[in-house]
Amino acid sequence: MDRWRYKTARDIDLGPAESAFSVNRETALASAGTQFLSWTAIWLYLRIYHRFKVIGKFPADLKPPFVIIGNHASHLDALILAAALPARLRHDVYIVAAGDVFFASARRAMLSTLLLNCVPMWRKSAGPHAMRQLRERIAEGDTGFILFPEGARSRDGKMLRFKPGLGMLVAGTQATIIPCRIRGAFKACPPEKGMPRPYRIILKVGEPLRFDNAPNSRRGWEEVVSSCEAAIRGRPASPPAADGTPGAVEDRPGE
Amino acid sequence: MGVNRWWDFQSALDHPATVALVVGVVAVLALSAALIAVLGRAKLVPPERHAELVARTKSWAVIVPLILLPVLAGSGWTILALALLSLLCYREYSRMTGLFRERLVSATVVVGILGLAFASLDNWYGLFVALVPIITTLIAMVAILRDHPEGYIQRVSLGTFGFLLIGSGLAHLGYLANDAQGRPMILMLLVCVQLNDVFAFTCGRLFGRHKLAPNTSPGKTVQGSVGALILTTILTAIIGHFVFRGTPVDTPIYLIALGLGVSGMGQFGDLTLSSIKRDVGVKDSGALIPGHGGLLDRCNSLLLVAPGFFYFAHYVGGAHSPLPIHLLTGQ
Repeated sequence: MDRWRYKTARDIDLGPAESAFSVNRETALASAGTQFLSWTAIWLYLRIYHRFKVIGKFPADLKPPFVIIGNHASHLDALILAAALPARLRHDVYIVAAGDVFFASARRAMLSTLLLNCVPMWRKSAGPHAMRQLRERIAEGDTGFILFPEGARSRDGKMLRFKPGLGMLVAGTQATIIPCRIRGAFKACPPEKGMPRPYRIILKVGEPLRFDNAPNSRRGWEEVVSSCEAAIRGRPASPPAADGTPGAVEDRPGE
Repeated sequence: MGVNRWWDFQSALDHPATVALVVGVVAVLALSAALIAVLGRAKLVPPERHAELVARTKSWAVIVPLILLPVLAGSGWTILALALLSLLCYREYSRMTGLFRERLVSATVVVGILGLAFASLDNWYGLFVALVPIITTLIAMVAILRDHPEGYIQRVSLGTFGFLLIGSGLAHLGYLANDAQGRPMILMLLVCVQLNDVFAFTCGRLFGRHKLAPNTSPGKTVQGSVGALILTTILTAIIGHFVFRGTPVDTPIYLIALGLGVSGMGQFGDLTLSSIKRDVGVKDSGALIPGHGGLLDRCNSLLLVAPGFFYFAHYVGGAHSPLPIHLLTGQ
């Protein structure tokens, strides 16, 4: 009779409004229902309007904790990564989103949480503290995150250098990292532009990475960040692009 | 007759006991508000204690209309309001115990709660009773679908317990609304259960010496419990005499038995939630009411009383509904 263990919701002490703004928010039945509807709509939209295509597969045995990362050049990116996930994983996945954009007002926070399952990352204040809370969630092992290690959208479609935050999150944890490369999203919906245009979007799912042996220190973080960055950029040996920059992830429309 | 009865606000005050209970509740609320104002003006209580009393009174001023209006508005409103309360209480329960992560089990409980509301609206007692084994069986079935035997007994048990305690418990209060004396019975039960808590607290403060269940709920005392048992029994018997006038319940023995049942089961309901919270290791069941904890913390005493009262009224009292059976689904 020793096996029962209760896992109380992390946000049990928070009212509904406080919880929406917390990285400890937990999805339950009602929000899972609204998210199911919104993900179905998003998947159809990507599939029809952007002729969305996924190359490669998420590992069949993938289960929390995991972190899905990608290059970031468009507001569509989070939708793309989440839409590509198998349905059985989507319930456990939270999108780490910029607090100053997605949680700027109560109404936005409500939409971001109920439709996209976002948790806020406040880029200016409370960085390390929020990182620690996210790291604890990963350590507890029942959560997956989608995040963009560049920390901001690229303004010209070329991938930015990764911030060390990803390393702080996963160095020395059991989390599986899935590096993903998004193509076409910049052309379809660049920053500072309004309506998305119907260009094709392709997602390439990379091989899983693990950093359970990396030390949780500056050195370990750098190790994590550089191998993830290399995994998304593709091998250095990849053929030079038209403008001569070797191996840069340029945002080209699909073949 | 028929479906109109769901929304028949016109007959709200037909039963004299309903009028008396509503007037009594509003009068007590107004009196205590006035008393607290006077105490504050005369500086008879310390300011921080006074602020707390004012906050309590304000929250009661919101809660009382929220309870009275659906009950007065008609059986349909009462049943729907209780179904909503039941869903919110189940939400807190599942978040406390971690059952909310088992979405299929939780969805089944929600279907069960909605099914009980449907059966109550339809006045279909057969379905109302059958839903308990149906939902229990369904929970045992859907919990297999994840093909994850670790924790199977735990999720089935937590789901079944949650459905029985909260879903079925509160639904019995809703089903009472179908009865000819539904309004006064529901109001009487709410008033007596609430005052039962107040009596236990007050008697405990005044005479409390021996702890009742120190591991479960350290604040409760034997003296508080016995005091509540006596006072609530007297109160229930007096109100019951007017509510049940002309029915077989209206004899001293039955009225006293009813009072003892309401007080005893009310106190056990309170201790049930205390036990759940202690077992899980949380202080409040949630944070829905700012500064007052969760909804379950407020209505824990009702969970066990409601079915007890329901079966007493139906089997001892011979209460019967004047409605045609099956309002929605036909004969």
